[in-house]
Amino acid sequence: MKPGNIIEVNGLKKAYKTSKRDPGLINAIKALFKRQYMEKEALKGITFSVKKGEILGLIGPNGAGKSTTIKALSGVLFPTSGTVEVLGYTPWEEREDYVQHIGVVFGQKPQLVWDLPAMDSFEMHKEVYNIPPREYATRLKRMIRLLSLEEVVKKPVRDLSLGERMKCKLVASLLHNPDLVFLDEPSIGLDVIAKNIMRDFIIETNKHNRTTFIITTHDMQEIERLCKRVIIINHGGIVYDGPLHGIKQQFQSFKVVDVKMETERNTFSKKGCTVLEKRPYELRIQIDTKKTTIKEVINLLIKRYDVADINVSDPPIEEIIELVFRQ
Amino acid sequence: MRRQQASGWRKGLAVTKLGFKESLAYKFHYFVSLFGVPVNVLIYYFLWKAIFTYSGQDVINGYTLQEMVTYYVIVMLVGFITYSQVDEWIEYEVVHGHMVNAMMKPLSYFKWHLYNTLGMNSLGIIIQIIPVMLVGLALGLKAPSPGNLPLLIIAITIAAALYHLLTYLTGLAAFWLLRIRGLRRSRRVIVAFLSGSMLPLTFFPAGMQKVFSFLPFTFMRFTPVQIYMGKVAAAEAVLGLCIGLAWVLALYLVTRWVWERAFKKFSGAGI
Repeated sequence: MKPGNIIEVNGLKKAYKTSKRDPGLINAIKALFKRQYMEKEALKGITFSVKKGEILGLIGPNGAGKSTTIKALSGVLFPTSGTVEVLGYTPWEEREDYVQHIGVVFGQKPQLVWDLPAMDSFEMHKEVYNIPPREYATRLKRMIRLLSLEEVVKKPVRDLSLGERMKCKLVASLLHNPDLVFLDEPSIGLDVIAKNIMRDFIIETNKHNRTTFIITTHDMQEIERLCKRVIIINHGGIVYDGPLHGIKQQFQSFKVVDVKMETERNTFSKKGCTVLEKRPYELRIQIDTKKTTIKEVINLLIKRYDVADINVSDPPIEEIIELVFRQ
Repeated sequence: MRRQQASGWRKGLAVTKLGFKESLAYKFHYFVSLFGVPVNVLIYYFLWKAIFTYSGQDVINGYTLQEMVTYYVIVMLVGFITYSQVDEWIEYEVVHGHMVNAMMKPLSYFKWHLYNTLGMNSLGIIIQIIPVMLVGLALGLKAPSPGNLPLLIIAITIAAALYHLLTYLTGLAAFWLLRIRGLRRSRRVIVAFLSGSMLPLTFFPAGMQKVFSFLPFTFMRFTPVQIYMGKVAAAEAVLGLCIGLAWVLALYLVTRWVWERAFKKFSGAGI
């Protein structure tokens, strides 16, 4: 492993069989006797490395292979081929030793005992992860203060709000001061305030302990604020690996034009243009300036449409990512 | 730098404690069963009282009515002590995709569930034993002979281990079948029948008894009860427990073999 790296993934491939079935009762009965299988390649040989102390964003549409990547890295998945080395371990080979070094938050899975206060789950973590009592006490106190969980950790988990529960899961995943933390959709369903608190907390933990974070999310603002580097996965392959602003540069040729009209018109077609949104008196058009110019488009709009207002801007990060996905 | 793992005992105790705390959250559930469970003893009592009355005999297949009551009470107590619902939990985890949680802990999946079972069930054992004992005593429950106590404790430990292992194995089937309610029920009925919790195994033909005595089920209920009641000679009991112990070892090895495949299946097919 190269100095400074804590993760090295080489040609990671994962194919699995899933049963498939056409809809309908007859087919359901048929499937009882004869199953049809379909081979799916979740990961098509991905290669990347992560340095200690990085906050890496892993993004991609649903089913792109993000979760598969996280599962392979956290040791619960046997890959079809390729190698993974994390902190000197091959994750799926020495799972029990390895998991002492990592923390995982699954945004969509319950990870604390539902009918007990989170504090009880924390206590169990303290023993199971062999955390020295004094370290445990100071770390817990600090996290409780940063996330304002003083009262929250004493209530049964079932009575907590989604945001409170997520914060508690984050605490649980960090109690043993792991070198590496996976956050799988940590902000799913949270309001802006909770998201901000979590985000600041992650940045603070990263600075304070040099904890490496790998985050999957669909929230581009979150990625923009947290991650200097993103990996975009689509159809089981890496389509982009680099700083977030790098994607913007790659798509600098794209502009977005918002037009408001006095009369109702909602069609527009021109080479190099895509209509992103249509409303009765509004159009949102994306222009690829390699194929056409802003001037041409605006001239055309003014000539043919009853234009009330025009606004030209760079596309927001969400739309850029969408472009990457579509490629 | 590699981190030092906590000792197995420390981890086990922590998971057991958490399970116990969790069971305290459901204490109401146990207090309700306080009223229902003893009724079972009464049912068996009246059933056998009727059988004894109509047969006109004082001893049936070597059992008096009082011994019969003792038999069922002890079967129930052994049942409480050896209880395991780990198959239900595994099914739930597999169906909802929550096993990853257990896999993120520095404990084997087997141990995680073993300690959790211990913690979750100890409260139930304590609460349920008392009313059954009281009803049993009222109906003439016989005390064990003190000399048999060490053997009895070993027998109950073996019974608990076998029952848990079998339940765990049933649970692992969920990795292939997902929903295993049917399998769970079948297992329960088969165990009830072959372990002697429905009817003392001595009521079956000699040939069948011979076969039963080599199956693991015998050691889950029948053997501890026989030892409690002093119906087997010490030498015979020791021999029986050796077979039981061999079964524990065998089933444990089977669970490991199955688990390796279950984990491969789980990690291979996506979660």
